[in-house]
Amino acid sequence: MRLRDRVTRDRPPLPEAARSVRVDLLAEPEPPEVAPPVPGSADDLAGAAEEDPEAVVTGRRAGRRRPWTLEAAALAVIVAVGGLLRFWNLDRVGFRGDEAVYAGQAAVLAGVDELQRWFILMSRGNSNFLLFQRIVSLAYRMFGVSDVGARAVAASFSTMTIVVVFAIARTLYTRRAALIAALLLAVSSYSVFLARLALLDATLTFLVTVAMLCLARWDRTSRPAWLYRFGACVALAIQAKIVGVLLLPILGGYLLVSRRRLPWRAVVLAAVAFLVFLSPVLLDLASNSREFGDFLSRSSRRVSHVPWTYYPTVLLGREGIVVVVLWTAGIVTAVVRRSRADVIPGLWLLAFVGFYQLYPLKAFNYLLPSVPALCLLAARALDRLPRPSLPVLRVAATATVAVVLVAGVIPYQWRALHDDSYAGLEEAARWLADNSPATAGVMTLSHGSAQYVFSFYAQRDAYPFGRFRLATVLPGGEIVHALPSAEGVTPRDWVALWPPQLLEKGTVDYLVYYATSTTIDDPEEDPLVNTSTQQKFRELIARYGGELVHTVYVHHEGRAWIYRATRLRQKPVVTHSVRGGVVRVRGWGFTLSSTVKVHYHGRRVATAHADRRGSISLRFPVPARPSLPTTWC
Amino acid sequence: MHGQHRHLRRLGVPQLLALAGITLVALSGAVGYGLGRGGGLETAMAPPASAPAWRTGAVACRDDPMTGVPHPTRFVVVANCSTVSGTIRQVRRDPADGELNLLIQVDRSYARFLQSSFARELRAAVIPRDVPKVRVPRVGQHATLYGAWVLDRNQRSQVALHPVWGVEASASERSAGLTQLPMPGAGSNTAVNKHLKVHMKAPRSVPLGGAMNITVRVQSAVKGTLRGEPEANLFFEVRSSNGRGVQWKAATTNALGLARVRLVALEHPGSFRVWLYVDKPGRAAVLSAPVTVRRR
Repeated sequence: MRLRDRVTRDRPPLPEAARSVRVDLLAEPEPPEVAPPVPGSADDLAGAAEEDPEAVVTGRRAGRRRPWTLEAAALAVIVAVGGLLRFWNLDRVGFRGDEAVYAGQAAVLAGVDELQRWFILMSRGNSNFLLFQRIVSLAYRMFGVSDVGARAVAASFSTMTIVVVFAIARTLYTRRAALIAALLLAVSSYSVFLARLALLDATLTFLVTVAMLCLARWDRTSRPAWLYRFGACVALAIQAKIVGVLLLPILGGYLLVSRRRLPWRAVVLAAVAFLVFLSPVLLDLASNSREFGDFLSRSSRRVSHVPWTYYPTVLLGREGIVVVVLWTAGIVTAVVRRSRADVIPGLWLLAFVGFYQLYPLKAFNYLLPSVPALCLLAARALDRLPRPSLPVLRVAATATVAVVLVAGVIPYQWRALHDDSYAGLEEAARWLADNSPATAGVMTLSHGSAQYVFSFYAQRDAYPFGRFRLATVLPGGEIVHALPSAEGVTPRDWVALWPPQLLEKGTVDYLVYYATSTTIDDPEEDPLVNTSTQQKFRELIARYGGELVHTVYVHHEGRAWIYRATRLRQKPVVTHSVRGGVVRVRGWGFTLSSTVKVHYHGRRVATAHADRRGSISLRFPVPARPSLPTTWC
Repeated sequence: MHGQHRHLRRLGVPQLLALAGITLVALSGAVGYGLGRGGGLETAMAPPASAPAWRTGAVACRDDPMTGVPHPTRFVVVANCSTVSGTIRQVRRDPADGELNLLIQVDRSYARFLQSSFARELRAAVIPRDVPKVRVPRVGQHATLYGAWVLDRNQRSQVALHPVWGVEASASERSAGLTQLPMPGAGSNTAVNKHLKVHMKAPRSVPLGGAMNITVRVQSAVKGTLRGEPEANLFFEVRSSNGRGVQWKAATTNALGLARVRLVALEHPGSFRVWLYVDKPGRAAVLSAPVTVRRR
C-alpha cells in the first residue's frame, strides 16, 4: 500500500466545526478526509511533529491554539505591506522600452486606433501571446490609457502571488512556514522592483504559482479537479510568456519522483482543459503561423554575452546578502533533508533556474518565477530552526531574525522603490510631443525597444539605434528583421546601415541620447558615453550637425538630450558646370538654412543660403582667371 | 499515529536517480536548443598562449600603452610590449580614425602567436599621435615592429599589434630607404621640413550635451607668406582632468587649410583639455586648449 493511501484511510474525519472555520484562500471545497490541517487540529499537530517530533508527545503546542482570525490578520498585514511596496508611487518614472511595447499593444486592443501605426498585435520575439496585454486593455477600457494602469495590473498580480505562496506553504508545510514564505515574498526587493514595471514577468509568476498550488493540492488531496486546474494554468502561463511551458516538465518530474499513477480519464480531461484555455494561442498560430515561426526562429538566436555568474550577481544586487543567504539556506536544507514536501518547490526552482542559466539569452527579469520557490524553501528552513524552550529566548530569537531581515532588506527596498534607470525618457517624449511637428521622426539608443517610449508618449515615428537581434516594427507596421550576421555576432544594421539612411532621407529629425542611472551615480567609473554603441551614436549626432534643443534634468542631473539634425548628409556634395560664361553650382548636405560661401583661389566669389533641406543652387559669372571654382567652405 | 503517517519520507535512491535523470535531460535540452539555434554560448576565438617577447634596445617599452589610443576599451592587452618581425603587405591611413593601419606577414617564428597561422598575417596600427615619430617601410620591405600585443574585441578577439610606436627596417634593406607616409596630400606641392603654423579655436565652456565647435587653421610659410595647408591630417583627443581620453575625432583640412569639427560634450561636468595632433609629411604639431563642461 502506498503512503498516500494509508494517509487517506487512517486520517480521522475532520470535525464539522473545525471545517467551518478553515481558511480556504481559493474558496475551493476540499474533501473532509484530506483537508489542510486546521489550526490546532490533529493534522496541525502532525505538521508540527514533522518539524519537532517531541511536540506531539509532550503536547507542548496543544494549549497554544490560535484562532484563524489571527492567521488571517497576519496574512492581511503581510499582503498590505507587499501591496504598499508594489503600488506606492508607481508613476515616479516613466516607461522603459518593453513596458511601452506592452502598454501600446494593450492600448490598441482597447481600441486606441491612433497607436496602430506603431504597435502590432504580435510579440516580436514571440515570447508571449498577449495575455498580459489583454488584461491591461480591460483596465484601459475602464480607466483610460496610462502608464500607471499597466503597471497597476502587474503590481496586482505580484501582490496576489503573495497570497498564493501562502496557500502553497499552508498546503505543503505549516502555518508558520506559510506566513514566513508570504512575508519573504512580500518584502523581496527583486519581486517589488519587477512588480512595479509593466512587464510580463509578474503575470507569468502569478500563473506559475497558481499552477504549483494546484499541483500541491492535487498532491495532498488526489482530487483530479486540481489537475484540470493545473492544465488550465499551464495554458494561461504559456499565453503570458512562452516559458510557462516549463510547468509541463515540472509535472513530469513530479510524477516520476512521486511514482503516482494518472488515471486516463484525469489525463484526458486535464489535456482538454489545457487545450481549451490554450485555444486563443492555437487560433493565433493557425492564422499567423508563418510570422510566428519567423519571429520565433530569429529571436531564438539572441545571445547574451555575459559571464555565468550573471544571475547570481543580479539577485545579489537586487536582494542583498541577507535574503540570498536565506534562500541558499533553504536550498541546502531541502537537499539535506530530502523531504517529499520540498519536491514541488525543488522541481519548480530547478526547472526555471536551470533553464535560464543554460539558455543563451539572459535578462535581469527572467528569474522572477523562481522567487516564490526560493521563498518557500527559505521559509521552510526558517520554520525548522530549533526553538528555544524559554518564551523570553524565543521572543529574542524571533526579534533577532526579524531585525536582521529588516536591516538586510531596507536598503534594497529603497533602491527598488527609487529605481530611476530610465528616468528622463518619458519627459523627453513629452517635450517632443509639445515641440516637434507631428510628422517628425525620432531616433534613440535602444536594445530593441526604447524607441517605442516615444511612440507611446509622443505618438511620433521612432527608430532604434543599437546592436540587437530583434525585429523592428517601423511606423506603419512594416517589419524589419535584423540582418543575419556571420558567426553569431550581433548585427550592426541599426548602427551602421539604417540610421544614416533614415537621417539622409529626412525620416529622422531628432536624436535623443539618454543616460542610465548607473552612469549618473558613478561618473568616474562609468562615463556618460562608454560603450561602442554610445560612442557611435554620439558620432552620429556630431556628423549630422546635432543641435541640442532640449535637456531633460532629473534631480538636477542631465538625463536625456534631444538633438535636432541640421544636416542631411555627413559631408556636402557639390557639382558645378560652366556654360556661356556662367558657373552653375549645386550642392546638397549643407547645414540647414545656413550661409554657404564659394571661394575661388582663396577669394570669395559668391554667397548662397542653403534651403530647409540644406541644398544650394547658384550661378555667377566665371571669375577673372579662367579656372573652375574648386573650393568652398 | 497521524504523525507517523503524515511524516514526510525522505526521497529514496530511485527517486533521486529519476530526479537526476530529468535534470540531465532538461539541461541537455536547454543547452542543445541554445547551441542549435546558432547563437550558442559565446565562442570567441581562443586567444594565443602568449605574446612575442619584447626586444630591448632600439625602442623603449611603455608602461601604459593604451594612453592616447582611441576607444581603448575595444582591446584586451595581452602584453604591454611586444616585438614582431615580418614583411609589410599593406599600409593605409584610415580617414575615419586617423590611424595608420599596417598588414604584416610575420616571420615563421611568430606564427605560433597567431590564432590562424595559415597566412601569417597580423594587423598593426600606429595611432595618430605616434604617426609623426614613426617611419614606415614600403610595402614589401621587411621590418621589425614594437608595440602592444592585444586582442581586438571588435574583430572577434583577433590578435593585433596596437598601438605600434616603433618601426625598424631590417638591416639588409635599410639602403632601400623608408617611404614617406602614404597619406592624402603626400604628393602635393608642399614645402618639406618647414614648420606648420596651427591655430585652434575651441570654446572655453560648453553646457553638458552641447556642441563643441572647434575651428582649426593650418598654415605654412611659402616664399615669406603664410598659406593654408590643405589635406593636413588632424586628430583631436579630449582628455579629462586625470588624463584619460574620452573622445576622439579625425579630420583633414580643406583647400583653404581650414577644418571645422563638431564634438558633442556628453561628458560629466568638469575640466577637460582638447589635444590636437597635426601632421603633414615631414612636419607635425601638437597643441591643446582647455574646455570646461558645465552642468547647465
